[in-house]
Amino acid sequence: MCTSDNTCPASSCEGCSPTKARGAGPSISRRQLLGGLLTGAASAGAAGAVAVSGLEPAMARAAHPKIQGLPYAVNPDYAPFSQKNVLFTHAFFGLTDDEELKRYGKGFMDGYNYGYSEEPGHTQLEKALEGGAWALSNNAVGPSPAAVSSFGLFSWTQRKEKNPHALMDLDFVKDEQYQFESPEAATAAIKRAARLYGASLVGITRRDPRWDYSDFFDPVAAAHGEDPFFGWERFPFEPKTVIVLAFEMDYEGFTAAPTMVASAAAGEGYSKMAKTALQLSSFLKILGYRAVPCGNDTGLSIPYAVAAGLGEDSRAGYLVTYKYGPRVRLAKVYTELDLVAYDSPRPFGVREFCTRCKRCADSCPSEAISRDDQPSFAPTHDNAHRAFYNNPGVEKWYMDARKCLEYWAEIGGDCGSCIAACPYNKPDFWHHSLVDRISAGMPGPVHSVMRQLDEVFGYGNVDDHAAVANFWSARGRSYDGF
Amino acid sequence: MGIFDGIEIMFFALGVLTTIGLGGVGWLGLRRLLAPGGLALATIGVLLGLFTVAWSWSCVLEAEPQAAGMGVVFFGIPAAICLALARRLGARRPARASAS
Repeated sequence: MCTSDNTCPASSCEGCSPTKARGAGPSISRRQLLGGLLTGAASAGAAGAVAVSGLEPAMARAAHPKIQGLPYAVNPDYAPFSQKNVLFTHAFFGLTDDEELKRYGKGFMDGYNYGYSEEPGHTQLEKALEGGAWALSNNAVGPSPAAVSSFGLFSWTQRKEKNPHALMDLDFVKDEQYQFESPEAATAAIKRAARLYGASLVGITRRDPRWDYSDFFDPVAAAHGEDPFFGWERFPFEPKTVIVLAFEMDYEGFTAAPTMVASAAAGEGYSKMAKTALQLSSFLKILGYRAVPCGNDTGLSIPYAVAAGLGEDSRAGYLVTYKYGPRVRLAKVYTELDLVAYDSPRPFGVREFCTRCKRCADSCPSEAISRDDQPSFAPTHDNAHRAFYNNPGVEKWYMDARKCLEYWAEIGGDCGSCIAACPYNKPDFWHHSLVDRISAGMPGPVHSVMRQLDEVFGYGNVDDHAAVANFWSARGRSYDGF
Repeated sequence: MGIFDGIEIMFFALGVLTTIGLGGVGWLGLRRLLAPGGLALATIGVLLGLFTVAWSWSCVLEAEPQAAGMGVVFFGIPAAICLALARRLGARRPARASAS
């Protein structure tokens, strides 16, 4: 061990550097340097581990506290929306005298079912990709994406006994109700099960009749000449709780919007909705609690998702989540179980960002998204006078679904440009979380700069043919398990 | 076939680079080769440089090459400027030999 002080004249000592011996200032031995480096590395590693595993979520919780009530205003005279006023009901099922709307609906469905071309992103290959992605949703829950309730696997029926013809059946309501140790234990168990079944995010909120459809339209009954309208009297129980499930959609798929690749990414989300919502409803039934799985049907997914703390509403009308931005699909499970600890909304600055950003509106090929600076309590778009599909009374930006559907009919599929362009649409990487955090803490004018930088950095491009090629490229990918 | 992939290699490499970079700055400080201002600039430059590597590498991993390139421009150039200024302004000049 070297015990020399800084005045040691020796130049050959093992413990000192030659420079020290020349008296160039306070010196450090190789051993000290090595020790320092190792200590520094250990400290950096420990700090990094804390930052990655513990500090970041803790900061997220501290920076975005839960709030009571929704983060936007709702008029006291707000009335629940009727499902028959969903634009799809008019356009797809003929519940209208508006020939233009019928034409939009037929144009979209013809394109979806039959259309492909030589155009990049719209070839037979992409049509096949789209078909495979949507297959489970189409076959299992049929028109649920168009907000039709109680269809296929999303049936409201609650069997009390096993299907006598089935070899294996665990989709009936047990007589014995499982008693959880505490509301928190019930919440934790439900969320863990939902994650196992494939949900990316799970939130639980009380049922709020404001966000349920006031009444329903059955296209099958309409096709048979029967009364197609019915109300909540058909619902098999009094729901107390709504479990909201969010499913991440493929990032690369949405970079190819508005093509069939993006539609395939959306379709995969819809198929996950069908699978996971059904599985979670079976989980609750075996616990002895009646449950109904839903996709876009039965209630409005976005206010329920906001109430359940999954994210915030936005200019384009979709939910923006903290982790995946707008690139999610939503499903719900209504249940009579009410012994759960409920989640609360947790805003993280989306609305403030949306007031200035407007990138979704700029990218929308049909100009269906509002460009108003501030949200309003009623639609302000060109078709506001005939916008039966907008339900006034909520402070938000009202989208013109009619223009949106017109473009869908034009391209023969869904679009997704608004999702692709949103600056919150990023892969789940650390640097995007960092930028989101900084952005949320900055004053408004900075948000405009952030939006510009998002473009400069090359994010959120739409109509990008290279994105289609990139989606299919085998470069850098391995599928063989090695 | 690799044992580690993608972001795992990135964080390992960042650990190595952090150790080398901050260790180097510490070494310069202990050897008093940089004035306090130079040390501060060098530290900022090293941290910015590490951030540049982390940002751009992450962008490559998420298949956003333009973001990777712009990361070099936005964070890498300031890092290089800081390091150059640290060398230019912060390096201690050897004391002149006093006339006897």
